[in-house]
Amino acid sequence: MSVWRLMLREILHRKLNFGLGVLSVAIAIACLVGAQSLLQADRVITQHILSERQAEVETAVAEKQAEVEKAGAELQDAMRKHMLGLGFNVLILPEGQDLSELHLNGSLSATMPEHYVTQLAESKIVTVNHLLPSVTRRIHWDERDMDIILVGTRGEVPIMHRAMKKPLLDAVAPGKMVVGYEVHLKLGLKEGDKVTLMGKEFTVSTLHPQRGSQDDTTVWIDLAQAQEMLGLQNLIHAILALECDCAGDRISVIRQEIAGILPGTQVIERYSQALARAEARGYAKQSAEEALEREKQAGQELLDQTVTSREEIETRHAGLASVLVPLVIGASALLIGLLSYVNTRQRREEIGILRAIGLRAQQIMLVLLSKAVMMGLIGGVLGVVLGLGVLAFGGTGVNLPVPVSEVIRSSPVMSALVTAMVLAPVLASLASWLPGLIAARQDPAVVLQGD
Amino acid sequence: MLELTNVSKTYQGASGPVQAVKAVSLTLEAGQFVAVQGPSGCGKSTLLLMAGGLMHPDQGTVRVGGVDPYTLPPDKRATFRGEKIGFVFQQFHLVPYLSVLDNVLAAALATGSSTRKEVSDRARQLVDQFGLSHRMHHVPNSLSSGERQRTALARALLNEPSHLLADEPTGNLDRENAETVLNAMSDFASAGGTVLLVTHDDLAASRAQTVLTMRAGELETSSPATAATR
Repeated sequence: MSVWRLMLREILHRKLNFGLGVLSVAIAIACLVGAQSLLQADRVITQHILSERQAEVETAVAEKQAEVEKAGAELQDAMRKHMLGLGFNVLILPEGQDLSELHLNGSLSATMPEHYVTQLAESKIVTVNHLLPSVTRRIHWDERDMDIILVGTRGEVPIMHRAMKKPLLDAVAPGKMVVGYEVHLKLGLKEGDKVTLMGKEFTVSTLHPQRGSQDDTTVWIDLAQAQEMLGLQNLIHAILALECDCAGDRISVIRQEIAGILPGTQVIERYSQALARAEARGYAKQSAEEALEREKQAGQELLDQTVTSREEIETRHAGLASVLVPLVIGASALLIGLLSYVNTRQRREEIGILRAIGLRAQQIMLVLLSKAVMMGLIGGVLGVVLGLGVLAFGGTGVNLPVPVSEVIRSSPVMSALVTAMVLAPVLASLASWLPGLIAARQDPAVVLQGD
Repeated sequence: MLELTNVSKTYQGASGPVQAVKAVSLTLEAGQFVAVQGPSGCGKSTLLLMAGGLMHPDQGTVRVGGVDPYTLPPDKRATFRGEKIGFVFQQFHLVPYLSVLDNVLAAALATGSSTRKEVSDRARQLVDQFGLSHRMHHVPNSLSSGERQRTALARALLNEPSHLLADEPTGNLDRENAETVLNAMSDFASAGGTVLLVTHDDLAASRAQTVLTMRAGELETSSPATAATR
């Protein structure tokens, strides 16, 4: 016979009282553990959602970047070609060419040998990238009774010491004709039409859209045919040097370099057109970068919104838990205290006789508090199981993205479990303390006087 | 030896103070069996509680084996009771969820010897002595009144006290069981113990060496005059 046996016998004798006490502790602990577990589940879900969103945003940005790069490349290429229509960066003319003729009539009369372009291409020139020899003359198209600018071109002459660049301007094949906007509009030409110019037959190969420049009244044919038609065999009027590095002070370097290779020539710069082209390219790049930046910002905003939304949910849950958990624990403590009080009232006679036959108050307290500790431990274990059950059930309900065991193993939940297992017996003992103290100190004579 | 000197006790009743015991003096030597008789409410139970160290008298002193239990701190007084005094009550006051054997052994919790084998053996011996062997593992609810009182008596005797105080121990018993209880008390006295029996049962009182009559808180007569009243 021992105090423990006395306690266990009493527990078995008054199962309902003990059971209710255990249930009270279990509910309080379940509430604590469940709340902590669900809050941790919230954090896990938030982390998961943010990771998903982050990945989505990164994928979207990467896709957008690829799109932008592709579109940018296409845009740059298109611009390169479209900008070409605006004119040339550098025009190399014979020294005696009157520039007012060019500006007033769009025509040139001074010539230079065609081999100049070969000479230039075979030189070590570094400041220009594309070379196009041409003849240009304003003529009256007798067969169609219309003034046009006839340009003979042979396409780009490769610069020998460089890797071949993608040509900016395609050559016009012999017998073919490229027609400017005003010309084909007025004459009603279509691609594939056969036309006669200066007694020679040509097939319309390309119709240019409106450019709003001299090009709209221009017709391009093969250089050799143009030279023959204009009586300028092996002569050219100009060399168009494209994509030269001519921004800022570099023009003087170009002039100096070309003058060293082709003496007796003059170089004029189509400055505004070159700048516009550079700006247009820059704008294309900037637009692409801005589009990408907008995509990144939209992604970041999405992430921020998600964080805010999740924070609101977590704060709401934490707020609810911060009210609910102490309330339930307080109510449970009150109930345990009440049950302990009822229990000691029921045991009044028994405690009285135990005191009468010599048990000390501490022994009585030991019996009562041992029962409370037992109640706390069993209730704590049950509460933990219930609380984790809430997590398992809740986790299924909210599609917990990770296994429940992973949430349980997290430090906040483990801390809650340890706290619960300490708190449960402490809570039960504290709640039973006062009723136990009153019972242990009761005067046995008062009980025995009932006789 | 049990010695009460000029002890008095007054209760605060609803209609004013009620003096339950009025300056009673009584000395019981070792081996004496004394019965106190009197009508209900005459103060005999109060006298027994004071004698047993359970109720502090308002006046006078109590000495049990030469020690005034009321000079001891509460816990030491409890232990002192457990070691020196055995109690038997009319209502038995058994612990309802303990078996007969455990109820008997509960008395040893007071002395811290409840788990010792010799104590356990003595408990079994007492259970056997009072004819309860077949009921050893039964709880009080399943026992008859006589069996319950015999269990209470075994519990009172477990720690081998020098004093046995009994308050109407035969009040709820049939003649046969009453005889068993009274025989045990007589045997206890014969073995050198001091017995103070409070009863209004003439049969029970007849077994005492001395019978004292109490009325209105005072001891009036004694017969035969082996107990000393002053």
